[in-house]
Amino acid sequence: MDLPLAPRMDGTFWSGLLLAGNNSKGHGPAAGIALAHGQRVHYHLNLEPNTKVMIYQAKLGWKDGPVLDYGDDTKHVQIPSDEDIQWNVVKEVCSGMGCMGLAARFLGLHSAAAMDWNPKIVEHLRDNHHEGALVGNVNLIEDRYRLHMMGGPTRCTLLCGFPCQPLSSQGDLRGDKVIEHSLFSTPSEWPGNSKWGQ
Amino acid sequence: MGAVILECVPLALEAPYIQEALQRFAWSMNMTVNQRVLHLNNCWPCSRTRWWSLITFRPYQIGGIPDLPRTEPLPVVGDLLSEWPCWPEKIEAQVRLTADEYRLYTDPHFGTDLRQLRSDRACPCILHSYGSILEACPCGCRSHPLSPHRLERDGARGFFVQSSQNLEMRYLTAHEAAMMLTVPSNITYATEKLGLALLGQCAAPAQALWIIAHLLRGLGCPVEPEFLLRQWLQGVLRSFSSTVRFPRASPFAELAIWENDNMTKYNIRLGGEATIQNLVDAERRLAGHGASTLHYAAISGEYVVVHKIKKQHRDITHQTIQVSVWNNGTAQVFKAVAGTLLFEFFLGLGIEILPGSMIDDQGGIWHGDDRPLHDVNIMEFKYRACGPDSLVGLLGPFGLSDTCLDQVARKLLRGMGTIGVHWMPAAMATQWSEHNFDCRQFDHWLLSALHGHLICCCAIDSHWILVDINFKDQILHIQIMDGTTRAHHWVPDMATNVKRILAVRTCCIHRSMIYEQKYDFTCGTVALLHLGTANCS
Repeated sequence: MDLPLAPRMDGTFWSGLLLAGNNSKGHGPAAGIALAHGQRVHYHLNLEPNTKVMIYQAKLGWKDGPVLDYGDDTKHVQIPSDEDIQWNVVKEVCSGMGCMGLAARFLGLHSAAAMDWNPKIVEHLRDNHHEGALVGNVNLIEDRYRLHMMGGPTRCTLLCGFPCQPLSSQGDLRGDKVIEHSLFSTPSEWPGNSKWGQ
Repeated sequence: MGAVILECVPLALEAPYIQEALQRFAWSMNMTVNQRVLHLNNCWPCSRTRWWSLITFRPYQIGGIPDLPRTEPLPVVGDLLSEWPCWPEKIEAQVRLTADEYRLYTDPHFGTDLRQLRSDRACPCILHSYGSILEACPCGCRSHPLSPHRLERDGARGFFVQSSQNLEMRYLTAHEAAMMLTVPSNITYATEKLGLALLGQCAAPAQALWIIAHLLRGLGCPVEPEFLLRQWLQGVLRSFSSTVRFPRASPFAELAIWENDNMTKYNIRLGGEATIQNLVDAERRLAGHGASTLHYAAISGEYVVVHKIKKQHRDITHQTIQVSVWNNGTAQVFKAVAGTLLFEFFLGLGIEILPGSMIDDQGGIWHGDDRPLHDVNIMEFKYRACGPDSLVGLLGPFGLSDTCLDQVARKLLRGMGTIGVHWMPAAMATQWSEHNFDCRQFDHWLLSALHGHLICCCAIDSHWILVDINFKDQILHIQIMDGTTRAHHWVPDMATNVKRILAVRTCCIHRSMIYEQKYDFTCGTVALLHLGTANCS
């Protein structure tokens, strides 16, 4: 989930889904909406007006509100419109051995990517000729970007069997306190938060 | 994203932090959330209950997703596998339980889960730690065994089966676990334990297929989730059956067989080409009357022999009958083997029974030849002692009379339920034989041989012989059944005449002796015994 923008984040890097506004007036930074939390944000990024854009590692400043600018590793990927959703493509996150992809392929869908944090599992996927297998942690921004680009930046269906440790006795039923395993954790809460949110 | 499909344990449905995040995400993306807990054991004999969430754009109305279709009764392991497959030793060795693991699982301090998988139950949920609780996780996520404290507190989850290869306890192999989890068998695993670890944390493809199929249907695709699910499951079975080898009696296979009446255990060591089916066949033959079946207890790896004896069956071979003979004020007690004809018994005592001379306790008069047909108490009979001066000839020159033979033979044939078998009266057959089987008076009987079996008992040289004449595969078969090895020079002439009468070109003469005649006067008895074994199919 994208982080909400806050003054204390001034000088850090932000990633999230942005609805680029209409900047046809041409003076001052353009304005858009950070969709996850509905926050208005200004940006100095070269974005197509009136499009949804996935922003990776934009430099966040704070001047009467959040302002996004390019940093060294900033990337942005335009999201296809609602009419261009590719329903026949799926990507797997926390893929494990890729069983959801198996079912999807049986139904005639194309499994374009499968990402898991465990190198042994990814090796297993590759041994079984699973397309687009890559090692990565969905909680890491750079890995999200790699997944996004794997098989092309399509707008497809995301399949995810997220870890159950926070909900199981193995994880002592610690729920959202097991942040390192949760898909629903927020990287800012992680200890040793760094540039890529690690 | 067009849609997001999430899977986790059922508690996700109740976890506030997950539910809040989902709702926030869906709201911000103009999406709706569908959630459902799916039970795999509704349609497959494996317990795997998982929460599924389908998040789609609001314009696409997916509707409620039902649970997996439920079959009644709920499937059990035995529905898929009547026995556990045999795997190569290198695979079995990887999944064999260590002594420590076996001790742990059988210790009630570590939980009371069902440990040995039963064929009449569903397979318990296969967890990520399945097969590796006492070692580091093969996938690398845990570098140490689960702690004894944790195992004692939460229990050691897991189960085992008995190997069909060597009867030792083992975990499921990766392919078996995959089949249980509806994963096809065309996937390879670096090691069995790694496969188990991966499968233990996987989403069951059947459940994923169910959700994706409902998504596609919601998008307007003409798909039938039920049909697709059935196809998937059939494919899983097909791929599994093409991968595995089921146990046959391989050389030096050790079989544990339990017999049902006293549950005695026998260990049988098979070798060579012998198969389990051979054992079953042999057992059936040994059992004789009734049915004998060999059941394989899939989970325990043992065999159970079940005998079902026909109610009508009486084993006469080992039964004796006490016969009390009252003679001149003294009672003598004898024992006779069941099945002995009365006249045979008395002949053994040197007593000859006169025809029509026996009076039973109801006042009925009986002939000696009727004895095998009835169960009566003989109160009185007229007799004469056999000896040089006796008149044995009154009973005819040989043991059983033609009337007796006819009566018993007809009753026997009725009991055998044979169709197309024609019994020629013994007196008639004897007279026919005296004409060298060429007599207009009797020739028409031969026609019955063309449509079935003509069976008769004819006395040749004071010796009853059973003859079976039948026509099969364009060949006339003449079967001579005799309890002695005496020569029958009359048979070729008989065959010639019969061939001519029936206008048959080829004739085949068989001679067989199943029961040996041990006494001179039992030729009729032996003929009847042979009739009981005649193959009239």
